[in-house]
Amino acid sequence: MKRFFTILGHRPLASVSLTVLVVLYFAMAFCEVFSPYDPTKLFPQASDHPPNLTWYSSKLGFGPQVQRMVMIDEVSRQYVRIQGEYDRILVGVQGDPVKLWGWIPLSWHLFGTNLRGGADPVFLFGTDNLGRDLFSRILYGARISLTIGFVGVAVSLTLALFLGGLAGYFGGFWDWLIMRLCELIILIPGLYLLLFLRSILSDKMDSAQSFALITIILSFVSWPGMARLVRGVVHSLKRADFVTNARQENMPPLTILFRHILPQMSSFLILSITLGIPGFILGETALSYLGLGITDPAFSWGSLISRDATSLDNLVHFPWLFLPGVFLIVVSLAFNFLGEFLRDLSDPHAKELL
Amino acid sequence: MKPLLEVRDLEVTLGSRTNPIQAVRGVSWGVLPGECLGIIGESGAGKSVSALAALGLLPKAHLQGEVFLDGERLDQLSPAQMRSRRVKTAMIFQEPSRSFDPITNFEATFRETLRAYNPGLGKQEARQRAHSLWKEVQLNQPETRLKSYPHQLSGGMLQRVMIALALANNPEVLICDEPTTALDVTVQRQILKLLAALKVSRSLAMVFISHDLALVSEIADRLVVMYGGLILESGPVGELLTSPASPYTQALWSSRILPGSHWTKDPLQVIPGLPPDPRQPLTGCPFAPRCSRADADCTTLPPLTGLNRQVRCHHPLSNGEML
Amino acid sequence: MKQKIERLARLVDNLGKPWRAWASRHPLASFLTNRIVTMFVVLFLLGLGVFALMSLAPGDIVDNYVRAQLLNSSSVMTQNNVLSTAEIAAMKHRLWLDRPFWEQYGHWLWQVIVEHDLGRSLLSQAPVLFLVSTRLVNSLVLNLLSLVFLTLSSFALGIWLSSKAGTKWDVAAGFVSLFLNAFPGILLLLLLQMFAATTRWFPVTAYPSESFGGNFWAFSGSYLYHITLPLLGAFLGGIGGSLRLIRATMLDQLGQPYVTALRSRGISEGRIRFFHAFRNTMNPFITGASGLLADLFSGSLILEIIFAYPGIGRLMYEAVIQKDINLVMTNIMFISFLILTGMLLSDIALALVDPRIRYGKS
Repeated sequence: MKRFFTILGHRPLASVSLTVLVVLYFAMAFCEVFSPYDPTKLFPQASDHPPNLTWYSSKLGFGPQVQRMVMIDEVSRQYVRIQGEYDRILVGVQGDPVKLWGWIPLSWHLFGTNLRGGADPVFLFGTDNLGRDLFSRILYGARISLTIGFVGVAVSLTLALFLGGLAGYFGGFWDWLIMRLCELIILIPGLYLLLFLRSILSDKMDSAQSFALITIILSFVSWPGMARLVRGVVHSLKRADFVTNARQENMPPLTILFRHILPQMSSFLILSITLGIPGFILGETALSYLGLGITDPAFSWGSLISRDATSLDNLVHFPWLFLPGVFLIVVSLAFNFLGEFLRDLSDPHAKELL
Repeated sequence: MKPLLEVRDLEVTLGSRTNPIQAVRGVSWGVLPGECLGIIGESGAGKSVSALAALGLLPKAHLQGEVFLDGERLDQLSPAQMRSRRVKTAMIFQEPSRSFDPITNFEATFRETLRAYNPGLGKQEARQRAHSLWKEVQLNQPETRLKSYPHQLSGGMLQRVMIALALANNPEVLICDEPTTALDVTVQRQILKLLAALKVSRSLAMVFISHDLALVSEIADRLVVMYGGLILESGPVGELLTSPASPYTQALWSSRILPGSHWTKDPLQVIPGLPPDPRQPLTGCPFAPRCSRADADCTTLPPLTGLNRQVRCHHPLSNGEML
Repeated sequence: MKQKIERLARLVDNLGKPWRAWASRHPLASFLTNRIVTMFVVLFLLGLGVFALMSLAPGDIVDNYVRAQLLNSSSVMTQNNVLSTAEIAAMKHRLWLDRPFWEQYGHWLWQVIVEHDLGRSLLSQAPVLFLVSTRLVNSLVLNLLSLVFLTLSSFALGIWLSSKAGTKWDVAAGFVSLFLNAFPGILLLLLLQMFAATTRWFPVTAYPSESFGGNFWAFSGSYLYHITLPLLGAFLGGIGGSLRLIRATMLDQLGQPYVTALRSRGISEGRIRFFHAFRNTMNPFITGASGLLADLFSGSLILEIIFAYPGIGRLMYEAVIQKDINLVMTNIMFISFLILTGMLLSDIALALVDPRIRYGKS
């Protein structure tokens, strides 16, 4: 562990990535507290409101504050800044009542403006066309986008470990059967298979069901690639001395597989988790973008992009609506940079990194 | 007589600048025409690296010292000049199956090798030269076999092809880097015989690198014993084996497998311990940690003394003394 | 039981003898025969799997159709359009939906191979086979263009980079390729389209408006102009991965013992690099090329939707949205067939490049 952090210190890109991911996952876990408003709350007077955070005004001096804006055109949704009208952003305000993780009632938010005192709401990232705070929506949407990676990788890795391990350890007929099955699934271009599976399964579902369904479909498409790797590793470990010894002591095969072979693969597992997660996140985005993923009232980064960031008109006039995309890019890059670092670390030549 | 190939105080550093590996730490040897110099040592002793680096075949290595080929200094030449001088040298490598481009057939390989120093050579002429080389290394059916690919021949045959390729441009120096290590014992003998015959018929200056002392002693005229990137002992093969002065040579010689050793009850002699780490600087004699004669003197590096018969040891064995 | 199995195995072994004798004499032909037979077996099994999955799923094409009719008619409050139970059963019977899935599959194969007719699309009323084949050709043109483009440029760059290993250029290119590899494809395409819309240098759709029947050269020119941006998107999305692959294999090859052996014989660096190491690098790339093509098709599905390109990806998407199961399945089968053909071609290319496959192991 100490070695991990020493080497990490020499790799700025990887340490930045790790920090970004930790911050994002933390913010996602406590999104009820970090977001100033309920993500479904409508601000009728603030459709497509631009971000209004500023750091300096002659009235309030330095410090986070919002400048008041007023819509001058209902059709094109143009706003003008009002000179000299600023409201301070406060740390720790009482606001909309929410339930932390669905059951702890709470009305304390990390930051916000004095709404009851007539102050303008704070829109860090602007609002969408219904006047909902985009920052809050991104944080709540992260609940789906960021967890689907972990859940999906867990499901497909379990499948891959079980089937790939079986194929690699027993060889022969099982190997042949499982590997042919993998090839059949890999053969079909991923998105086509996703669409096919999505189309034959029912679409009359609530958010939780569709989340589960999407996770399962994505796992089904991605396990064969992992299973092939697992098979290769198990196949080579099978000939290692400690496995031969265990076998000569008549240890049952499954015990050998789970007690001796799988623990040897820990670095491989960490690597495939790190590099597998962005694939799931982007898979969910693709499905949601196509309108076959997470649908209203639930939302993810993918469905936010699909809803707001696909019309050129929106992007040109309200560029902040692309911000969910920016989050997606950052997370995907961070996982990949981190994965690259872990790959170097698990490399036997890794000593040369220092 | 002047040595054909000679290295003086050669030091070779491999690896990156932050993580240098001192593979050769100051080595001098030379080989005369018609003579076979055996370089012997464990893996990692720097024997192959010294030969490869001398001919500029390790592009990433950092060299210090002097290398002379036929009286000309090599180590200061550019890679292109080096390539043109290399016509006088040839090499044979230890893994015949991995030392051929797997997707080029032998005829093309011969043609390419012949044309390397003789660009205008015609296809027919190249084929005829390849045929005669093929027969010189005692391979048959050149007409059909020249069309085949490396994976279609056995290790022993591939090694013969490699020798034929080495002879293609009539070299004066032949460096054999563990040429028989990857081969069966019976094939080892045949290859060794072939090399010995070629040494005489072509009056080659031969450098024979191996870890097998018994094998080298059959072909070499003089021996250099390397350990930890240094020469511990050198001299004519007969003298060196009958009365080794370095405890390392003695230990190496007594750890060979003798005829019948599989049915005598005597255990095989081994040298305990591991060779020194080439990443660390030397403190004293490199063999001292494994040497039964080592004492406080051995914490300083002993100098290489003697002329025709050199030894690097504070407590050399006297004539005929055993450990 | 065990004896029976052994006897069976021996029987199979004996039956295979003449084939093996032929195979050892003609390694290349047997290799190709093996691959072609495998291809059709795989395709057949895939179709069976697809039909089985469909039969497992709730509801079928007629149920969906009926449900859609019901929804429509309820708004108009007329009963004219609603089919009776008997009519529904007749319709299912006509479409073979009341049979087990293997019979449905057999019927489908018969329709494709013998009758060349898969009926009409439920919604657009165009013949399914015609729809799929024209769209497939469009997608194929687009993806082959990007495959060629990608291959050429990643080889050129990869070889150049392998000669610069360890320098600043290498580090920078490593970062850029990792970046491109990790960049979400959808967003890349959206950004490219935004670029086209704001600068107006490129059209925002990927297919020319004039018809193909007119002037061939004018059409081709307009076509190339329209697909420039989509091609750039596919290129940027794919270059990261293939560049890293080629650079790594090239460096691996240059570290092989045979390279030192070639050097010792006085072969020039350029020849070692471009003739020997390069040709050996082709090998893993060709093996991966069919996978790359599958990836390109997968990526082009989004591309075709964003840039409104009339390819099979968009057809697939529309079919899924409209629940035209028959069309979805035909799409899946044809795209698999295409990828399998790609695999076969890459196997043939591999045999042409690599004598170890051409002549078999001795």
